[in-house]
Amino acid sequence: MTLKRAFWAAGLLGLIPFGIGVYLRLTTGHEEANYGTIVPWGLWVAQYIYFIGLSAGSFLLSSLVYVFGVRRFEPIGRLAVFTAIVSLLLALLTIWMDIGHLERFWHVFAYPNFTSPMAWMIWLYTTYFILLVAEFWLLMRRDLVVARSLPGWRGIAARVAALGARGSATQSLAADMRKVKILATVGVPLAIMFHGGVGALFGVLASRPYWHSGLFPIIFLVSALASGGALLTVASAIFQEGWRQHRQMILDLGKIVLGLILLDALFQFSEILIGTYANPGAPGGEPGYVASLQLALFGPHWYVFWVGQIAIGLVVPVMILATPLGRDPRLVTLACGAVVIGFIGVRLNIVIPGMSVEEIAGFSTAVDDPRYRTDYFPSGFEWLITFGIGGAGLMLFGLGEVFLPLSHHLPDLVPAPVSQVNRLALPILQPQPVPVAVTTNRRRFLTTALALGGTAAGVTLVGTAVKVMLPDTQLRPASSDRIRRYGRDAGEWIPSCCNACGGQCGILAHVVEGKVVKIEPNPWNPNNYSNISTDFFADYDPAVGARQGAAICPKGNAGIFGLYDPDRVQRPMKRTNPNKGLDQDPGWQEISWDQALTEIADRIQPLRDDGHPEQLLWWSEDHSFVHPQQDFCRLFGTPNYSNHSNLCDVSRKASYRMAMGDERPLPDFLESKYILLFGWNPTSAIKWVYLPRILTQALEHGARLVVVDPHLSDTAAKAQEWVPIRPGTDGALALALARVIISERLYDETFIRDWTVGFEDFTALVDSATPDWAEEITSVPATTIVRLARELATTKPALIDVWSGPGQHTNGVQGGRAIALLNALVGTIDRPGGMIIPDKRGEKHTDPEPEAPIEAKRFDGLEDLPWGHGSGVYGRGFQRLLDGSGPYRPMAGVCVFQNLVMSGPGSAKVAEALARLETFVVVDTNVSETALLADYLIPGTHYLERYDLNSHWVTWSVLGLRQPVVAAADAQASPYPFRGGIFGQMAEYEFVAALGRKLGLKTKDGTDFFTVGAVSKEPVDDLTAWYEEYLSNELKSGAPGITLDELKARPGAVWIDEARPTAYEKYASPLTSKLVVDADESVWDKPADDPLRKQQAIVVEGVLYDRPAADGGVPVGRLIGDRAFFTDGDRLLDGPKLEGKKPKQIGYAFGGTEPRRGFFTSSGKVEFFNATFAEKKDATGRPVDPGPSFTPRDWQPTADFPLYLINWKEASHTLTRSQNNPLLVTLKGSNPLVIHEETAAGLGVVDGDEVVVESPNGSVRAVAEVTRRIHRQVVGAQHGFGHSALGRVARGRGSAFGSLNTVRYDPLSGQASHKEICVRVRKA
Amino acid sequence: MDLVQLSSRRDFLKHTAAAAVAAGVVAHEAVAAAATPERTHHWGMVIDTGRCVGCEACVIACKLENKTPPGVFYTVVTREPLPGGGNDRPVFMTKPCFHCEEPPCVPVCPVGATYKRKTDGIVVVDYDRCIGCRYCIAACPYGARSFDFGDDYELLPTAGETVSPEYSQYRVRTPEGSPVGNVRKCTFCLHLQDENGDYDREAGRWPACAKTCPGHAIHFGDLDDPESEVSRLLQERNAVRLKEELGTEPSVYYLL
Repeated sequence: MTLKRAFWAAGLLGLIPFGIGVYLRLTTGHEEANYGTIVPWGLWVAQYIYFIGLSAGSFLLSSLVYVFGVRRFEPIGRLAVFTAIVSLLLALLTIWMDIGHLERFWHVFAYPNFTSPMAWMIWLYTTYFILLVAEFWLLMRRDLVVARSLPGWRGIAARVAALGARGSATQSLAADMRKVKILATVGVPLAIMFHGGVGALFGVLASRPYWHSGLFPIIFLVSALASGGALLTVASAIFQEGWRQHRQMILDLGKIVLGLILLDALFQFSEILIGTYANPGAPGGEPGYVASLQLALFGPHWYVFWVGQIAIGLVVPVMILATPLGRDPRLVTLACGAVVIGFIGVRLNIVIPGMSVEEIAGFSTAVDDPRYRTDYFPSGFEWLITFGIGGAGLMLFGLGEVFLPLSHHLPDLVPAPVSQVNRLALPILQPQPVPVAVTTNRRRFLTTALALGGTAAGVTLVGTAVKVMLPDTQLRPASSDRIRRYGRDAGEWIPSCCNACGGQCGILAHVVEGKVVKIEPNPWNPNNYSNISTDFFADYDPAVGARQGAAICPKGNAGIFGLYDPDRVQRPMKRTNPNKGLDQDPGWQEISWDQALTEIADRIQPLRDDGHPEQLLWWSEDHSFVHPQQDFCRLFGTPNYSNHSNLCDVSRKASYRMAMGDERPLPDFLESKYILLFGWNPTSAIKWVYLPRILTQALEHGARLVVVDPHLSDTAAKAQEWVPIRPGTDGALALALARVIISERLYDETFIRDWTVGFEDFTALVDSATPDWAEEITSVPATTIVRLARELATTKPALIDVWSGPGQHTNGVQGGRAIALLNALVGTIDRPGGMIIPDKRGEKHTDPEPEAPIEAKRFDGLEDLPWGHGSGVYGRGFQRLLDGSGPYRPMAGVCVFQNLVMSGPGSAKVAEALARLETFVVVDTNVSETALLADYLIPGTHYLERYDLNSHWVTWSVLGLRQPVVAAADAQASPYPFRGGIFGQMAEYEFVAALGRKLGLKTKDGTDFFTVGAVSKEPVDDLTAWYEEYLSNELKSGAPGITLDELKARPGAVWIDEARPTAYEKYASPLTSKLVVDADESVWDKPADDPLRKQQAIVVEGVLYDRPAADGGVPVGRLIGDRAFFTDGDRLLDGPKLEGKKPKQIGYAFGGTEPRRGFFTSSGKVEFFNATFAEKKDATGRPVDPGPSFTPRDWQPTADFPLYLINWKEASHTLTRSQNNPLLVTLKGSNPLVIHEETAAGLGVVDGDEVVVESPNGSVRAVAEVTRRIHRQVVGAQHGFGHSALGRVARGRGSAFGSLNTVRYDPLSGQASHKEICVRVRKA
Repeated sequence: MDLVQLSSRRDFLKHTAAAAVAAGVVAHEAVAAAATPERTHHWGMVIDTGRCVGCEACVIACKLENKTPPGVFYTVVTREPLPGGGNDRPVFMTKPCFHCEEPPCVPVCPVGATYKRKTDGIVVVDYDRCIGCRYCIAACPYGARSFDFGDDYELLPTAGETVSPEYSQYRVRTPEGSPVGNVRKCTFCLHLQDENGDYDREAGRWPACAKTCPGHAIHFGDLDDPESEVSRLLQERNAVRLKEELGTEPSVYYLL
């Protein structure tokens, strides 16, 4: 009785999870389930086959009684049939919960597919279910008739269930038993078919080696019998007190179960043996099979096999049943209970490990999505349903026991002295003449069966007919209304430029009903196709753009998610918490635009009033709305405008400037046959989306690609050779390569003779740079160095390029210079297949002249850096803010579209420095870490909401337009009219202009700069219209010479200079002067017929003077041949070199007579060595090395901090900007610390371990990725993760390593030294 | 009931049944022959592994084109190490549905909801018929199918109605309606076909993954047309298909 009570309790308790589970299933579908794409079936499917097995097993055992007449099992006959029914119901209920559309279960009958094992199963279940119910009714009929006369609800229920049957005579009973025998006989093959069929359902799948076995259906059958038998034993024990009442039967059942589980074990063993035997070494055999088996045996859920399946399901029962213990019916019951439980493990281990092996290698790690995991564990919701259905099953059993006399027939109304056995068995064993009544019953039965079968057959036939009639037109027809509303031709496709990163590729934005729904490549924009004009035009048709189509990268595709990011800042915010810090809640208070502008103006106006406008610092992005911010700073009077370039590649710029006078040559991969890249990852860091195409095309054309990098980047993955190197030693490798090339005289003698200087000094300099010397420094074997040098110099044309890998160290500039000079050695500078100097002419910006000249020096001391860049020296600025060592104390700062804290080295110090500003304004789309320190946070725009002109980084002149493709519903009015982004917020340029208006900023001539239109010269109230004029003016006065509207009207909104395609060897081209010399010896900038021409100089005896000698004129140029040039020595300039003016070099008069473009170095040639550099000093006061000597970087590994730490960029993310994009985080959801397997082994770290990374400046936690893709002495990670702010998606993903460094910068260019850190790593 | 009568009735039944079966078979064949449209195209892809840089632009472009929810990817890029390379150098492969000529997913579907279009070889899913049993996912050897669990990008509230353009049905996504609860897969951007079953590349009506590919690695076209780019590539270059041994005859090839 206690067992029964426990049973009831469990059943009742089970109803609670069942209710909750079913409710969740109906309201949330499968959302809460944990299975996915790789493991599409989970706990429920295992449960379903478990119950199906129990059903088939119980039924087959009942056939012992009803088909084969084995009398000793008679007591459990009806219980067995009932168990079969309940188990089947539970199985069907489970699988019903599991399908995606509960309401469509009837499709299996209406739309039959005769080749689907699953369809067969369902049809078989249906038939089997009908048969079971009929059989059970017949078995119970007599008792139901008896029960009709019971008082109360029992009687009523029995009357309903009896279906009008009245007679309870022995004759009727005998007739019933005959029918039972027929049904049971039919049922036996059915049960075998459907359960073997369930095995077949799995077995037929060639895609899943673990299941794909002919033995599978047989195993299913045997296991069904074993589990069914065990369950019956337990049920009998519980309901019939079998251990007392049917002792022998229980013991016999135990023996049967023992036989079956041993047979099952034999089959299982056979499966395992065959599956793993094929190859002797382990793991051998069928790889998919072995992998699944290993998961089952040794995977994270090993206990299901060893504890569940083996210990509980096999060992315990065998130990009981096969020993004298098996003589105690209670122990037999226990053993059978163990089998019932153990078989849960069997079922789980069939379903789950069979699928937990990815069908395609690498599939489970291809995207970072919880549905793409091999490690499945059921969710709470799944357990709810599972336990719920289990509970419901117990309830059904219990109810059956209460309502139905499962164990004993009810006493007859007229008690008859016939034993139970006789009553049941006699009619079967002794056939009697068939009475009339029975015939009637049989007819009724047949009619019913035929009706049911006929209906099923009819539905199936109709379904088949439908299927045959409509073989290819099942799909619901296209909806023309919806195509019009949502389709490709709905709405507009607006051309623009991307700004997901700084690459500015062309895009087409599909805008439907005011919303951007898709972004596609802009095929008219060369930046999306090629950097060489001939390549682009070969495929270009003005009507369609690039015929093969252009491209955009994943970030560009995912841009919409940035636009509609719900974490965006929508309105201006003001800080209320006076304490600043990354751990402080700013206490944002929303304010109006007018209040924001007024208060900011009020806080920075005093700086101007006090004559110290330089106390305003300004940081900006470097590709967007740069000019109006620069104008603002000039007119405000501060020299302290800085931008992102300093964090990026100013080191490379300096290297190339030192070597060849141009700061950004571009590689002509297409024509190159040998490409040697140092620390550059063009196909993954991408930036310009043409890079993957032109680099892979080069490989297709037979080029050899060698990538020198401490990390096997995705570009190195495309290379024929990866050369792992110690970080910051690339310069030494370049010098050694140069030495080999020079000593073996493999260099381009003509180019070196005609177009370089300093070769002898360079030769002397590299003399000591032997391959052995370089091996010591770089870890690249000397033999490799010699081979690479020979390949490089003898495969033509070759190009050598360097980017931010080697650049972001304190020795990056000279190292990059040594690399750049390799191009001169092989003579491919500005030649096809080499490094091309771009002809980059775009819009023209003219700096406005401030009311008062800016006298103050820059706060960051940019002037001290000999190869400093206009983008400033971030690190030094922050250091000076921190220690007060600058020339003055900055009071205010504005940061636009930059995350200073996360972006640069020394995050903690940057935050501390920014917190010292009295007023800090941040303009950003999201609350970045930097924004947490702001006094005012101004909502920024997404690039789909704003304008910009983008001169593209291809080798000829191309300019693309970025334009707003979406806007607020209504134009905004306060405090000035403007169009407004989607939240009605100002674009950055509008904010700057509005602030300029509030401050009343004027140019020297008194013009209200931010009010007066650049073209109309009239006041323009609307901020957007003002900026449109501003851009129009830049376009008109620049190379395009068209207005903004004309640019918008061009295909793809791109201006392409078709007249001046990519040109090579521009340095050798003769230079003609634009200056016009009149007969009266006056020099003019334009021909005589141009009314706007201005006089530039006068000529006296072949020399140009700025004015007559009598007025103190000084020589500014000379006549070369019959043309006039501004000159400085033999340098040819674009204007007079006078006090306060800095004309640009436009060419060189070699030998004083030959005006050519030359290189823009002081010698007009590529400079291997420049003695005058020694006169300059770097930021630390050290003299600059005149040649590209190798100096080790400042921070070297020590015993305490032995590992280099580097970082890199991948296609999936834009620096620190894109981690809140839910699509991009599926590509890359975090940035594990990549560590070499040998190094990891030394530290006791395995893949996936949490580790602590420590430097003298701090420590960071990270997850280790153990691989061989990195140098043994180096660890590294993708940059940009580890946000503590930015948004809900970004927060807490990955690690930010910035605080391990300090605010370090290179002393020649000011480049932020992100990669100069040494660390130690330990297991967390 | 005498024996003769019995036997004649039996014969009658027998003959009737035989005749019915024969008629059924003939009718089935006739109807099938009449209703089966001719094959006009065999759309397929030739993916150049040399050109694929593993950037995964195709993955995102596909998601945006087909407006697939989280957990549903019609293509992913695998980056498995080259065996025996010694340095874990990855090989990138984008994995759309292979639209097999003998698709293992089709025969297993209990309701015939997924099938191969006879006109152009594209394997489709009838969202109105699919019951969501996911047997086809288990049967696909290439992991090309995913189940739509009903998850949504919760952080994208302003995009309004999300429509699934597939099969040009433009279904508005609701929690209880298809394709939620269905199995979904790559359709070769079937909704961009015109009424003749053609794609217009220059008009941007081209599978989204091929259209965006930075390496121009994904070639799409008619494998039955000997002049098409894909056919020419297959003639000129070494191509493989994945798991050829399963006899699935994929319509997606990889150039080595």
